[in-house]
Amino acid sequence: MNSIRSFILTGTLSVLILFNFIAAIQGYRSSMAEAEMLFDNHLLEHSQLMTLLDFSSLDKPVMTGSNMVLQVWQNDKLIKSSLDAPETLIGDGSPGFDFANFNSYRWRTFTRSVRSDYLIIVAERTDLRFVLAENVILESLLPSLLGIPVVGFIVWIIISRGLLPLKNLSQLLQVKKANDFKSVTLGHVPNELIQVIDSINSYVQRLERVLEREKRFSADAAHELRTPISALKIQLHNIATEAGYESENFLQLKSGVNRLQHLIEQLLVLYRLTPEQFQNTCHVIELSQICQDTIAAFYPVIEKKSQSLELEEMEIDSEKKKLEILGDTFALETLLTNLLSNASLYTPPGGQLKVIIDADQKYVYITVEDNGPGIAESERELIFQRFYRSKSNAVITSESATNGGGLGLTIVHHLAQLHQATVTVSESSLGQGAAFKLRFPRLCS
Amino acid sequence: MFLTAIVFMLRELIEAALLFGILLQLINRQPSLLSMQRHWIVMTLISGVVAAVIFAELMPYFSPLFDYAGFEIVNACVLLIISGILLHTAWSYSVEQKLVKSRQYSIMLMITFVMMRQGSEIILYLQSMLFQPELFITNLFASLIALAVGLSSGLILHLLLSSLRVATGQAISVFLLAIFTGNMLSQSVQQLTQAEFLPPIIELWDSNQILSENSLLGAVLNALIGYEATPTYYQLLAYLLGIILIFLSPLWRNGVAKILKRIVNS
Repeated sequence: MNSIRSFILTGTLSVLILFNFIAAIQGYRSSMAEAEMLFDNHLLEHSQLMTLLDFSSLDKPVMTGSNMVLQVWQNDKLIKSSLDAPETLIGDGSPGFDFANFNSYRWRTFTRSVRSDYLIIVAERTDLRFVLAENVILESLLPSLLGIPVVGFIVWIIISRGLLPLKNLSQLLQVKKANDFKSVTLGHVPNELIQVIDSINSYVQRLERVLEREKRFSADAAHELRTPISALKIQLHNIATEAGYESENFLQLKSGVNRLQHLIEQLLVLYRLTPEQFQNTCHVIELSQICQDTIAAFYPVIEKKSQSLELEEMEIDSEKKKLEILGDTFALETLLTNLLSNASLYTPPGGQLKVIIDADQKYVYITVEDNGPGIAESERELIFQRFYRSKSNAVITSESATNGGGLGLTIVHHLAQLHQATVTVSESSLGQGAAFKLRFPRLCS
Repeated sequence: MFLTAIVFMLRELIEAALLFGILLQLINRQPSLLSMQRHWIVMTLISGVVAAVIFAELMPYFSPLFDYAGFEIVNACVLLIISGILLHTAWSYSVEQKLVKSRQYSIMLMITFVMMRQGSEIILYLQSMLFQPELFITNLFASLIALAVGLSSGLILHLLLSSLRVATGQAISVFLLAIFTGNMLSQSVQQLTQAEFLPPIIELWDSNQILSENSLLGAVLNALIGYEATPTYYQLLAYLLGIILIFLSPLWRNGVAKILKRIVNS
């Protein structure tokens, strides 16, 4: 049982019903025993009354209640009886209470011996006394059965009221945004929740401090790491100018520094784009525009490798609605740049790249495809892992080995997740190569 | 009449409610022991009710079979099937998840059979109430009380078992399942003896003077641990066999016992 309310309600009601009804059954049994005694006393009193009568003066049959019969015997001779009484002796004539069967019914009998020669027998139908007693007792038990739904309703209200602070706290935490570091406060806090709320507030404050430190580290690292690398690159340029030529070792060193710079940039991007920061900068973005801007900014790289890049916008609907999503401009530009960079890197010079924008009623799709070597099916899940490098020889080019940091697609995956988008890899429609398809939830305009 | 009706209804209801409580606990707390999704539980309950109605309708056709021992024979068969499924579930237990699906169907089938057997007897009893209009209210009242007591007993057992540590809850649940299996086997032997398929054997003892089977406590104990005031040798043997077979099964040896051992060692 996952709900505390259901657990308490079910448990309480079950225990209440079980013990209430067991008590009712026990009550029924003892009440029936009491009723039996009362009926027996009634028989006893009847027989007592009969002893006061002068039997010899009675010439009519004795009248009794409908469920009772009477016999008066004198020296083995029936001298008086009620209308329904049999002609034979009821029971065996021994004094006291007993049971007897006659007139197709079972009877409770009481036999009294009077003045040694008279025998008074009073009998009552057991079924009638049973039904009479049972009806009375059941009527008294009925409220306990009918009361259960009422009790259940009251218990439900009490439990709901008792759990209200917990429900309020849960709702408060549910609507609390990732970048909201204000303390959680409830109007009335029960003792049981004081510690919980104190702990939550303490964690929130610590989280705020950690994130602040992280932000500072990110900014410091950006500055502290970029500056020496830039200085290193200038020094390399100066050495090359002074020497007048670039040796094999020098080129390797230059390539290593470039790779280091790329890796640091990617690491910083990954670090900067946390869900907390994303929430702050999230706004409505027109997808077509951002694709055009990113392609324009990336075009020099494409041009350098003599590759072609085409942007294709599919005919989506007749109303020419804008394709809008909720996102962060910097994050989306980084995402597209990484996909384009990845495509360009693994596509040979003169190759072909294509960006397709498509949509349906619920989603917007961006596909970046190339006619490079493609990605083996077995590797399509792995390429999004940090620092994963393709094992395929076809994919490893000298340029990719030098410039690929192993973080580009991890960042793509991370940014897609931030935008509640999915990224899948398939075969390119350009004959060969890979196609990365992003699916964003469409913002209804 | 009221008490008789309660005793009858309780005997039928508590058995099914307790089994359901135990199984629900095992399903919820330890999916690797028994696994069943929520909608399957609802489906099982529905199929149990449908099967009970059909079985009750077919009962008049069964009774004249085998020289008017048809009712006992069919009942014994149903009890043997229930015990068989319980034993099969316990013996086919494996930590491999592949078997979980087939175990789920076995449990569904077993609950359906238990509900069919107990439910059909309740339906026949309720039908007989229609021929006694003067006792209708009394019987209805008794039935509602028995239903409430049966359901709440099952729920309390389920909640109590769920409140225990997982291993303890499982150990008690499997122990109760073992007793339930013994009870089912013992009852099937009793039915076969009544149908004269097994030779009548002298009763081992008669504890009716201490606790009558027809008393309220006797009925509850009968449903809980299979209490019989006048058991025969065959019944006792069947009862013990059911319990031993469950404790020898992989469900106990590889499932519960290992978890308990791990806890003791840690």
